[in-house]
Amino acid sequence: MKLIIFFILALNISIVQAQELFIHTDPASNTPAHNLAFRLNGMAMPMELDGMGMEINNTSVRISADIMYGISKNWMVKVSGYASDMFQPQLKAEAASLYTKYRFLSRDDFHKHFRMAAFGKMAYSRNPAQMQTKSIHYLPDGNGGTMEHEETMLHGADELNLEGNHSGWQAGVVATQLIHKLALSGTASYLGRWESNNLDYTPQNAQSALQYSFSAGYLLFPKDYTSYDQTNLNIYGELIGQSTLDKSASFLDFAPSLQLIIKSKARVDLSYRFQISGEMKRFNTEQWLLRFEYNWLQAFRK
Amino acid sequence: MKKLLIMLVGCLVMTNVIAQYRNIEIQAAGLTCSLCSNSIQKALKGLSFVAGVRTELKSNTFYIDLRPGTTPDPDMISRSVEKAGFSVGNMTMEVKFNPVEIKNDIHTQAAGQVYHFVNVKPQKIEGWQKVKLLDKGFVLAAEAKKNAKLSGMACYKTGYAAECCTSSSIPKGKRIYHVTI
Repeated sequence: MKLIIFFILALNISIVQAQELFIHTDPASNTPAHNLAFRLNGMAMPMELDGMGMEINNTSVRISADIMYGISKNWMVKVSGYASDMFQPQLKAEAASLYTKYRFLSRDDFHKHFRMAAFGKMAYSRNPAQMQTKSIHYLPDGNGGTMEHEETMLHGADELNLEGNHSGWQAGVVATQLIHKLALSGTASYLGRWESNNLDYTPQNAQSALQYSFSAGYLLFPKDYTSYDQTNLNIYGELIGQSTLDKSASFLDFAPSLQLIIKSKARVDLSYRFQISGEMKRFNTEQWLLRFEYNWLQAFRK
Repeated sequence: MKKLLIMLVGCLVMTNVIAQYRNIEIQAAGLTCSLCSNSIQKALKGLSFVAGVRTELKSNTFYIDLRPGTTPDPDMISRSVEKAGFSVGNMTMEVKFNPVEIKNDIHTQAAGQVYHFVNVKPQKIEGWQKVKLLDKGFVLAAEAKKNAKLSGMACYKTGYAAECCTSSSIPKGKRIYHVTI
């Protein structure tokens, strides 16, 4: 049911943006100067939390919207808002973030380039640091029968997630190499947790981490460009990892994705991200993502 | 109807008389995707002297049609492509020259601009002539470096008339385009 709602919501609002167009990471290239892009992301996250020896299976939904703008050829900003039903039964507006990226190196050649950029992000989330789950189990009532007992469990996460889960900041660098139809990109960044208030202070959970990623993208269709109206099909594989700095824990995710670029303006991404190794405490280790993006090129010029 | 025809013919003749530039062709560098190419196309279309842009997507070549009676600004073309996130890797245009003797590493004034010809043999040119721009911003960075050796004059580095090239007709600070044919 939740999934249906999420798809309807996602479909209702048309779209999204573009460049080396990775799904889970950003390339060193920026959105073009004066380009305005809008994104709508729908995520379904199957969660398995351990509740008193019982597995609690649940699929959380998160919806987020991004607005991106190219201030100049080298500098872009992105503002995002997030809503999910991850921490409570209903969908609730939960977080906002501001992201900025500055391209400081560009080596262009015909049909290829190497670029580097620095990026930073700030996120505010009003979600509690710990997730609450309730499970019902039966205890002896003392009269030979059983009585229902509701157990409340708290689950923390060492994974630092600035996509809605936590308040925090991130700073890093990205390098991208594009060679004809193949794009390769790597990022490395530092993540720090911000406590929104004292109640949320969770010294038992990691406060800082290193995040790294390696992405590859390949243009499958068209074989040859003849028109802007041709739909492009891109295929991606991304590795995303995190290691906490104040605790010894890591994870590595893999995310295969498909992407359509429509009329050289809009984009649709479909991705499945899952953990391939790691022992870090996380709220979820799997994620489905459906994204629409639309670009208004030269939005603020006559 | 007849009047309209006369007016149309008149316009065409006039444009032919005053047009000093045509067939601007640029090849953009640093991109492979159609969305990127589209962003360049949109940026070029926003320039005041551009009437239309035709694109060859396979090679990322853009053919610019000029508005009648306008003079193109190559620097603005280069900046537009850069603002879209890419760069110009090659740019040629046809310039209408009055009969003139050109020599290697010598400045020539034509069609309202100063052209500094390099890598050319002494020759007389007249009428439409295709020139390739060699300055930074119109060629790949590596080529711009190589091209710097083609001229001993200081104007190649800055693109503007310095002590080397000023004369009664070329004031200091005048934009100088380095070209070859």
